[in-house]
Amino acid sequence: MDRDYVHRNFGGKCKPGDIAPYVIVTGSKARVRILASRWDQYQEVADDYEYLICTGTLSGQMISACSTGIGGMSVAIAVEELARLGATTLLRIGVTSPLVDEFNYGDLILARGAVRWDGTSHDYVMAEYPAIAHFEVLMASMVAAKANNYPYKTGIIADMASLGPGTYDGHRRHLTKHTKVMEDKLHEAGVLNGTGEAATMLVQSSIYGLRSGVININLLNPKTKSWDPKEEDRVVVCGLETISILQRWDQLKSKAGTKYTVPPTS
Amino acid sequence: MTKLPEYIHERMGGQLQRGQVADYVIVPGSQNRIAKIVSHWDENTQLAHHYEFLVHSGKLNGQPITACSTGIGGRSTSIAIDEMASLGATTFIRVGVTGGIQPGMAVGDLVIASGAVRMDKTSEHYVFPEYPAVADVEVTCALIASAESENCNYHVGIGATASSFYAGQGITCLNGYRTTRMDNLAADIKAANVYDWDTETATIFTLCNLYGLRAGRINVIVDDPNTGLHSPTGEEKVIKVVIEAVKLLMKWDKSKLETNQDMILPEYPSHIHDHKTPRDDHK
Repeated sequence: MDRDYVHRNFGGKCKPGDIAPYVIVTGSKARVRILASRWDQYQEVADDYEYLICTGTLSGQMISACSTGIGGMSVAIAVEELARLGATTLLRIGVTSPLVDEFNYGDLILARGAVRWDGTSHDYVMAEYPAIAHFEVLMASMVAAKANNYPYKTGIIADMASLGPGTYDGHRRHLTKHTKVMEDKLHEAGVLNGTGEAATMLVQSSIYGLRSGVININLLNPKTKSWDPKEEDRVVVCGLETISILQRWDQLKSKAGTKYTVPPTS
Repeated sequence: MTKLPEYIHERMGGQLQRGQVADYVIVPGSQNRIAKIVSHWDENTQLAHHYEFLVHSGKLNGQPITACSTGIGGRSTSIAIDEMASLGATTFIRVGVTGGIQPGMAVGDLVIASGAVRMDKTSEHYVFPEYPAVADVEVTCALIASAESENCNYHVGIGATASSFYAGQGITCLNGYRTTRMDNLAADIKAANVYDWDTETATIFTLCNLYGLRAGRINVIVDDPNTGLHSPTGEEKVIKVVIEAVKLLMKWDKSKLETNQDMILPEYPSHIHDHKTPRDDHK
């Protein structure tokens, strides 16, 4: 397909129709393959730079998954291209280690919003603009976590332009005063954890009128003080369930002629 | 006798004491709106009148409720939130008036804020500017459900909070005073899909997020920036929506306590998986 920039349509490999309205975005290509392996069927529609995109059906509904690589710059390109190709709901799933003590290993973190220490979102809009998750996506992720009995916490997370303060547990060789100040600021503000892509995607989504949300999982085991991928599948399952729930809610909304899904009022 | 305050605005000049402020606090900007709010309650008492802060507490559906005017702007709003929260408030709903920014927004429409642009500057005294001013999901859902049941035209999106009414919102000041920043600001805010302006919401959201409290906001559009039309007719309607939203929150909160849940969520939809659930593949 013709392209005007190097990354347009993911290196010219995607065309309209290749991308579902509901897309799970995640950092690693490996996780895209794991996601797609749970669907009824899927096709690989693009593999360019850090972007691996699969599109298929889950419980009969069209779904895509797209890896973004690490960092705001690459996720911003992915959001631009996905939305141009028809994506309207974006759910990011990722792994993290918490900044606060109250987490157990394997707990899910469902973002209400994100601190914009990504850098990239500042190319788009003034610093005071909020990086917020869409409330329907947030509620769907809560319902999905509950349905699978996964413990979760909701709150503000931080998006950081480097691996960042608080990520290393004391053994970082270059933990400077500056990094310590950043970490203290996040602590004081009660920020739950760090990530590298959330705020960029959330800000772009608000500007473009897309729905988006973020599910992270704490993979730092406080008992062994080590990074343990054993329970990583929880975030995959919760992500897929969230999309299925949103798809069903959207069907019910269009049947009832309502704009939003809200908790039962009677 | 009431204890003297430790600083000038503590407990609204020492006029309030603990136990007099309810969990649910409605925060309009104007003192005049307090009378319209309390007219929907079963009973009410004026408890404090200090600077622009007029505070009433009473009962709604038999449950305690408070209303406190914030005055205009971040500084007075932050005082109101800090004092009400220190006296026990846990849920804030701001009700105000605004001008719509995006196409398709008409005078009389309601605007529910999902978040706010922190141009208030007051909130920067509390936390760095990149921290998000996000609305509470329960309060937002209660406002949406209430706007639906009252058959109102409403929009849900990000609002911008300015630190001045004229210069800060791009409105030409005295003697035609206007800067290029004001031109760019209005255009940039519109391009960024911001729905409306006000001068308090970002302060309220930021403080409540930091304190672990709930906050939501609903404005009624009274100004059309494109035509210059001003019409305050929607005020009664938006107040009714807020009252119904508080009733719904009270109901959800009661149900949460009874069922030991963090939040009353929408239902898990039936029949979403034809064949299997994603978990079935997880060995």
